[in-house]
Amino acid sequence: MLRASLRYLLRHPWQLALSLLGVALGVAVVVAVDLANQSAGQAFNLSAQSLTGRTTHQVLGGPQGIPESWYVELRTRHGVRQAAPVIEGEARLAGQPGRSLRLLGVDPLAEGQFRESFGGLAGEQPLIRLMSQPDQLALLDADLAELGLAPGDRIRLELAGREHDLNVAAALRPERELDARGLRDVAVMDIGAAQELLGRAGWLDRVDLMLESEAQVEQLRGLLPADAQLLEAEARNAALQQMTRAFQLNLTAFSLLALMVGAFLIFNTMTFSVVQRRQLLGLLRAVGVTRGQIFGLVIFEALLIGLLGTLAGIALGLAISHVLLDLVGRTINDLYFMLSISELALSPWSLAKGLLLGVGMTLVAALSPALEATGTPPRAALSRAVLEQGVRARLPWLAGAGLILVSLGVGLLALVGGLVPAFAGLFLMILGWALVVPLAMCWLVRLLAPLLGRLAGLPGRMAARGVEAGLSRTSIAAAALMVAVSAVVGVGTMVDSFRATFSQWLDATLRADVYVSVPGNGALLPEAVEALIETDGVAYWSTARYGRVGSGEQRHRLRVFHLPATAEDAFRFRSGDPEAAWSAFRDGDAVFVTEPFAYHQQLQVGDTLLLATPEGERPFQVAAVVYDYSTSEGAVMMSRETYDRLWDDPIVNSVGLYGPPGTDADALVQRLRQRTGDMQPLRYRSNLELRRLSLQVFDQTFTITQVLRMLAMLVAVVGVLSALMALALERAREYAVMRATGFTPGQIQGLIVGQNALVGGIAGLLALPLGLALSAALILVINQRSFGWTMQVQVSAEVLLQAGALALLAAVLAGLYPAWRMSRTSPALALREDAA
Amino acid sequence: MKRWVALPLVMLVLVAGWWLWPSPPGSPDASGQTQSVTRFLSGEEAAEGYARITGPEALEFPRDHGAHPGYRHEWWYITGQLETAQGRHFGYQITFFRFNLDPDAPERTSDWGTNQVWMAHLGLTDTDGGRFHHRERFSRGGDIGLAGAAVDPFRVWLDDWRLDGAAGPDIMPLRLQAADDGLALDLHLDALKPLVLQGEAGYSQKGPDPGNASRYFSYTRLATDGELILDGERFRVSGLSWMDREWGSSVLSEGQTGWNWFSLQLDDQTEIMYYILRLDDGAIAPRSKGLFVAADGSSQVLQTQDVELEETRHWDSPLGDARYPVAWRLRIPSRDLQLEIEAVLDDQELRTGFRYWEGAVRIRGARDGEPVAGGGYAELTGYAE
Amino acid sequence: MIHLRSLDKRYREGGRDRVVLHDFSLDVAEGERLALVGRSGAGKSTLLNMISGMDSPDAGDVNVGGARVDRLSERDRTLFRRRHIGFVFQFFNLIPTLTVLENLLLPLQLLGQGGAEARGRAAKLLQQVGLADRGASFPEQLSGGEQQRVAIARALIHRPRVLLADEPTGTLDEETGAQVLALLDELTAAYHMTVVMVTHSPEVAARMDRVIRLVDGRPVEA
Repeated sequence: MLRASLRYLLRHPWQLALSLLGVALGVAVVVAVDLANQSAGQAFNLSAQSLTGRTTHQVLGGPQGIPESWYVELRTRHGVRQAAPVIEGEARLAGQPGRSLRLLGVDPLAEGQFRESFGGLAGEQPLIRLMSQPDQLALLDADLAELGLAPGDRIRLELAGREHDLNVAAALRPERELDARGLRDVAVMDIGAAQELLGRAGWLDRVDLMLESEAQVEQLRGLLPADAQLLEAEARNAALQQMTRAFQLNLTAFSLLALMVGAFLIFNTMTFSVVQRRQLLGLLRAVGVTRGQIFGLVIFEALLIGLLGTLAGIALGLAISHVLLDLVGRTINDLYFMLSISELALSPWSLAKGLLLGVGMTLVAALSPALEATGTPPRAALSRAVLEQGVRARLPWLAGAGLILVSLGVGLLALVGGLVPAFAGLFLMILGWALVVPLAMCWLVRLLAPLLGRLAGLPGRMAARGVEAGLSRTSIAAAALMVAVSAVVGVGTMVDSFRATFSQWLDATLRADVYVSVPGNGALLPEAVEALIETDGVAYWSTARYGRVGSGEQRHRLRVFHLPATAEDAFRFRSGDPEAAWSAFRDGDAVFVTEPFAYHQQLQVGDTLLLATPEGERPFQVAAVVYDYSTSEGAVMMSRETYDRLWDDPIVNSVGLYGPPGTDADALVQRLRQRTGDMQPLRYRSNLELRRLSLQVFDQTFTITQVLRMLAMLVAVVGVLSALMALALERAREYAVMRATGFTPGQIQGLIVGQNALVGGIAGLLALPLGLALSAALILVINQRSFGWTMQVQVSAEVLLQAGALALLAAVLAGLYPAWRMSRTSPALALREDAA
Repeated sequence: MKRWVALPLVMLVLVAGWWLWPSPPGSPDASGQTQSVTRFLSGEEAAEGYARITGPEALEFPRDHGAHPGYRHEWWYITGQLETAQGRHFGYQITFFRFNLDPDAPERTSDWGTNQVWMAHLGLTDTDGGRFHHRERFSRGGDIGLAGAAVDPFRVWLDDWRLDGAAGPDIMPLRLQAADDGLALDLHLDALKPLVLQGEAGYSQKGPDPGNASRYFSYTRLATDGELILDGERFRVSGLSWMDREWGSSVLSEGQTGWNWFSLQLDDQTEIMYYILRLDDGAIAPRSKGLFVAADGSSQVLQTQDVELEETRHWDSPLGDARYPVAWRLRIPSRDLQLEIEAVLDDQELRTGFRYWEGAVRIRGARDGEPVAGGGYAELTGYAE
Repeated sequence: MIHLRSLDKRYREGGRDRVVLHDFSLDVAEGERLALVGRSGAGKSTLLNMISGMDSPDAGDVNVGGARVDRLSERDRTLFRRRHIGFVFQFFNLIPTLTVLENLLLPLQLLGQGGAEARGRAAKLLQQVGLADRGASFPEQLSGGEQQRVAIARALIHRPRVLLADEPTGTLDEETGAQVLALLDELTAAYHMTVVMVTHSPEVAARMDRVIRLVDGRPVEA
């Protein structure tokens, strides 16, 4: 019996191959995304482990960091010796765009037992030179090998806009394999050299501590500078990693969507194989095969397809994951923090999950056809028509169940908080609407049949009837296509809306004609600021200072603005009375917070926010919540006046220069360059350029979304191809009769393509409402909950037309091969096969 | 002279196991580094770029109590004998070492950038408890202020181990504070005799080449009292201490394997410093020297031929590969002096990266037929390989 | 009407050639009613397919009503079939997605005659086959005999010169089969059609003008 089933599968190689491909693609996307996510997580953990080492606590300061004198006092006056100072920065490899190194400045003699990973150092030159010379660094052995360098060689790095020729003093050869991976793309320097190269003389980014008892923790807490925090190292790492969680969850959800489309495919294949073999199954029942055995047979076939497809999918997933890994890494670097993901984390769990999901989905998808197969009465030679009638009778129930699922989904989305329920709701919506598709298609076809008859005569009517007659096939194809197209519409509309919102926000926010900053977000020299604002043609100027500020156990992004009154409308208020807010912002202890910040911290206008300042923790009133799309983490905004009252920190990170109306930004840049000369390497960006670059980063961030969208589409095309081809092949005899009656090959082709176009068109049509609902769910619920952003829903006709065209094209493409094949096959042969 | 032991130690720590973390044993890099250390130590070229001591020069105080960063090495070294009112005896040693490890280092903007590395050793011999405790610390020097030496007022420190003195040319009295993990010293020291210049007015020549020398002076008798904590137990103690100051850039001569060095304080108010440089063949190098300080503070150089030193008992390190002398008979016939010197505790070996023996000794003997007694310190290097 | 000359036809089956027709020649006069008998696989259906232009010989001439069917292009063969051939199969005769009436009209519509006249002709024919009231039904709603009657009507509606029937009564019970055959006789006689019918039944064969038995790829006059 099993042999019979294997033979059946092998006799329909196209069908088998397509369903395998469908499962494989679905599983591949899931596995690839999961691997990419796992790899990102592992890279983070490894680097955190290697770089945190045995650190139990970290002291982090205000926007400037921690004065180094505090650290010296800690050791010399308070005898705290398990303390290590750290300066962190980013260096770019000159001549290798896109490759960055994480720069870590430490005091070798204070490191002691902190970081095991730094052991096993090897170099030709005495390592004292790290401390005594300003240009020495140590790199991981493997990184050196990759760069073709050895200790003693020179390496060109770009730091804060300036290129430096540095000397590789040593290779890091960690004893533990773990560290060899955790230290990828990390350059270790002496803290002195790091301070000099990053322009941080006098300051530390943090102090790592090994505290063993609560008493020590308390002692340290008592010694902290007023605006500093003592945080547990593990909690801080966890908080960092938490930032990427929403992003990664989103990816996973998209990958599951692809698998879901793949599951439709399996359902289709299995149903088809059962239907096609009704007679055989009836015969088997007649010779004494039990229902259970029939059920087992179908499940066995599904298992076989699922297993083979899943295995292929895992292999394919491994291949795709390299691409995804790159994209995931880039997004994390763009949006969150610097992370070098140089390798794939081949976690067996990821693969097992893929296997389980792939095979499990296949089995679930095969359940219904298997049950249907057991229902075959012995010796029944039920005609297709009777079967289809049975299917049609079930449609209302199916649609009813679908509508219930849709409402459940909507309910979940609207009423239950959290991201996971939101995604569950999204999936229920998709599944439910997919169940409605057969009935909707039935109605639509009946509605369209007369119209098509009038347009294309009998063949038109035949196409419409053909779709209806093969509803058990066509509706699955349409549902798979509909799901994929709706994902394209939903995600497309979401990205469009986001982009439009972002772009409008940029227009409103970028008010200065020219923005000047130091590459790498360093500090502008006071004389450079002076020169800039005194340049001819500068009417007003604004400054910005970026940093972090402590608040309880958290660390918030802080943005300090000095703004001319004319630039005030750069801020759009989500809530808060502008007039009162601005005066509180300038004069009092009030701050603005960005929308995501308000969301994450659950703050409203009028609430107070405690921030650690040099005068201790102080309450700040939230005067306004402003729209901001630059960071999903959110930020606190403070006026320079307020900041200067509290912090002794003259640093400015960026200057905005406003000319009189009609200023030629390029000419202004020319003058600014001349005025500042070679004081400092500065980056000049005109309003337009900054806008363009921002959108570029935006688009890059969404590349991965687009890629996943396309993969889901690919799975759908394969599904449609498989479903419609199966249908066409099944009808071979019918087409042969038509040929005998006098249909030309061209007419048969037209009929098949027309039928498919109809299926595609209907799928596209039905995809629109779901797509729009998905985009609404993504924009209003999921993005809001993931990132805290409000976006305006922007439905572009282009996306809708594109989706419709895509559906049509996919279906028509899927019809081409069967059409070609049908017209090529001699009808005599088809009839002969039929007689056999 | 004796503290040269520290130089290879620092190099070893800094170079072979940079972050005080062991390199894989037997790795070619580790041995390669060790070789370069040897080269660094033995070659004349290696001292290039450092300031050199080429002859007697007038010392200037308080300036010369402070650091001399241009020279390769320098130390502030204090040893002493302490007793509680009940007569419980302790020996202690604290040394602040300064090294310049890169004479060509450029000026730096960052206060952290420096060629100065500091090391400090703290040793405590619990004679009655029969135990020897020692601790070691490293830090960078430079403007950052984690370790250093300064005058007006005088101070030397590494982290929270510190030696503070007065402003002005006379830095006395001193206060020494050093605590680390169950061990703490808080002592006041005051000079009972003025400082004495070693060698030729402070010019202490070590080898035949000019510049192969150090600047060397000592306080040989410092009244000491204060507090000592050991394993949480607090002791009120008093006694006598000795302080050495030495700096230079010279290196060991070829063929020298190690040295034995003694600082002896006798109850007739005299002190003796004496060291021998041991050669490969077991002979004693001709530049070995000493100093005799009379009760009135006047001093005379002791030459090798003036002193007879005989080892009378030995002790084997528990590691099994070193055999140290722990008792000696020292005779200075010209002064009719004969002393029996014996370690208060046999095991006063510092078993760190670089092994040596540095410990308290007690002295019995006779001068001009009258009995004398006292205490002191001995340093023995080059016994373990 | 049908002139077959020296036809050769072989199929590849299981890796070796099976000769179906060899040097096969046959003439059927206009209005003649011919029965083809022979064992299964003797090549009876193949012969029908060649006459209709659905299959072509490896060698030899196929001349139907003056047209060299074997030399026509695929498209022209289809057009030839559309105009001149009526086909009745053993089963699977009707297109399930079309109503009885639409099935009937199909050949006329393919010939571009979808007008009122065609409808009239279809209605009349339906009446002739006794299914006047079933025009709006779908094939699946008819019994086997009824379906076959519709099939005959569809094969004849465009007045083809040749009717090819492949065991039209093979799946029907005796009584129904007799009814169907009677209908076939009546209608073909009325239009003076040439008929070639494949059958296994000696009784059915006996009703025809001439019986040809296929033996080893050659015709044997019975």
